[in-house]
Amino acid sequence: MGKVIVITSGKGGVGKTVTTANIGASLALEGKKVVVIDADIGLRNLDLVMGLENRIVFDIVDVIEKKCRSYRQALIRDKRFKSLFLLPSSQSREKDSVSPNQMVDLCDTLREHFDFVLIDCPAGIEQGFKNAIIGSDESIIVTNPEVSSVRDADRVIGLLEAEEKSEHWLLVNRMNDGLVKRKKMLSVEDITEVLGIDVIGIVPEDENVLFSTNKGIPLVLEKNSLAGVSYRNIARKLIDPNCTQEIEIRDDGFWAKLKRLFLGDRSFGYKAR
Amino acid sequence: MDIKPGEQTDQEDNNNMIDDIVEFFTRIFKKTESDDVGLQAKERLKLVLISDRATVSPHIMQSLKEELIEVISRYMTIDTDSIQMNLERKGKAVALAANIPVVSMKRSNKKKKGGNGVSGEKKIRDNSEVKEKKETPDISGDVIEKSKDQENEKEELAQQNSSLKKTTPTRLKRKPARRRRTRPAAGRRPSRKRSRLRDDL
Ligand SMILES: Nc1ncnc2c1ncn2[C@@H]1O[C@H](COP(=O)(O)OP(=O)(O)O)[C@@H](O)[C@H]1O
Ligand SMILES: [Mg+2]
Repeated sequence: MGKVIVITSGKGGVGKTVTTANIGASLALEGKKVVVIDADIGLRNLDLVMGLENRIVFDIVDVIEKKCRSYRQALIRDKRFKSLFLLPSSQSREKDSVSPNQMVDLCDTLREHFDFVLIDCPAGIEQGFKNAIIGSDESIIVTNPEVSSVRDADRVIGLLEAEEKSEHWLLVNRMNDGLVKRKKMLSVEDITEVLGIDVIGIVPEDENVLFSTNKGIPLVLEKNSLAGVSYRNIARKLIDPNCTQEIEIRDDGFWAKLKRLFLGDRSFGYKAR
Repeated sequence: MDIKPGEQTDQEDNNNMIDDIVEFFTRIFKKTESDDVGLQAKERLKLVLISDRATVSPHIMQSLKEELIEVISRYMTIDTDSIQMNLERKGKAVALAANIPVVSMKRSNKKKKGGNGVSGEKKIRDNSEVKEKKETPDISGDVIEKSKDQENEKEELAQQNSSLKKTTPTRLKRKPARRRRTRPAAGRRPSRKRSRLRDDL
């Protein structure tokens, strides 16, 4: 029996979709059978970030309304990985095309056949959010080191706990340790002190995120991406919470060496934790 | 040396100059709190989350009220219908202000668990009010204002104070979580061990 994990945040634009795609891909690289679900009905996005937008035939609403034979028909297999599948969202339908009960049934079915079911939750705390969390076992709350997204994260944690969904982790995305050192930004310690939940990982601000979504190639396949490495380590912790074997990268390009020589570690503005 | 009043000695002049220089340099080099934007962000967040959690979950304030009534009723009869309880914002702090009308004071000659018997048997003014306030300039500071001054009351209120500390945390908790499943403690906390990544760079 697999685990259903919802990736949520309250605030939009903090990196839920990027996180879902990359944790999904990382879990597949670790040999797990994974399905990622785009639960943002009406605003399809996960397919584009993953580079699978041209292969969609059926979507989540078709599966729920039984317009296709089984969920299998709607799944798109990502050929770059052995065992990664996408269940795309519908672009033409409304958020209330899916009921909470139908979502629970879908999660229960998928849980039987996959090691991990990741749900990319829409922004907000309305029906779309409720549908996305209702069938989940655990949640990853994505936040940025910035006051409004932390505030929204707190609201979402409250709502999850009200639904008796108390297995949750925090993922701090777009961290810039250089700014924290200069005391211009909330640190991870500040955020956990305020929210009081455990951190599963910290993903640095990384321009490779933009490049890889532009190309439709998952970040975790890019060499030397700090964010990619962070996602791979997060996936390892999801598989085994006690895992301490972290993947490392060492940038041996000319500029990296030069920077290291003159500026030391600070030049990267990122400390892997 | 003849010194007229109001005139400075060379010594004093030097001292003033040194003070000026020290002040000049501290002004340049000393980071004041207002430069720590991260800290400001954290403090602002903490405050806004107190009121967020209180307004979002009336359930918390309700159960706090009920527990307060329970504790206070052990010592005095209060008018439970006209209790007022609010989180008030006061500049940089949030205070829990409670206005609890007292109908009568109990004769507290019974032995309380844990404490030795309080001997006061005086009749106490009716309809007086006990006003409690919990100021929160920082995590630990709490003050209880008392409108009465009898010795034994002070003692009782001190006990009450300790109960209040338990029921009114400065950082407002979220709705008490009912954990569905609990995992082994070690498993729940992702390790924050620094990876070798940075050391190798
Ligand atoms: N770690 C990061 N570094 C740099 N840019 C990022 C990072 N994470 C996300 N982004 C950018 O932020 C934007 C929003 O990300 P997205 O995953 O679509 O957010 P959400 O799904 O929460 O609305 C995208 O343009 C993405 O490229
Ligand atoms: Mg999204």
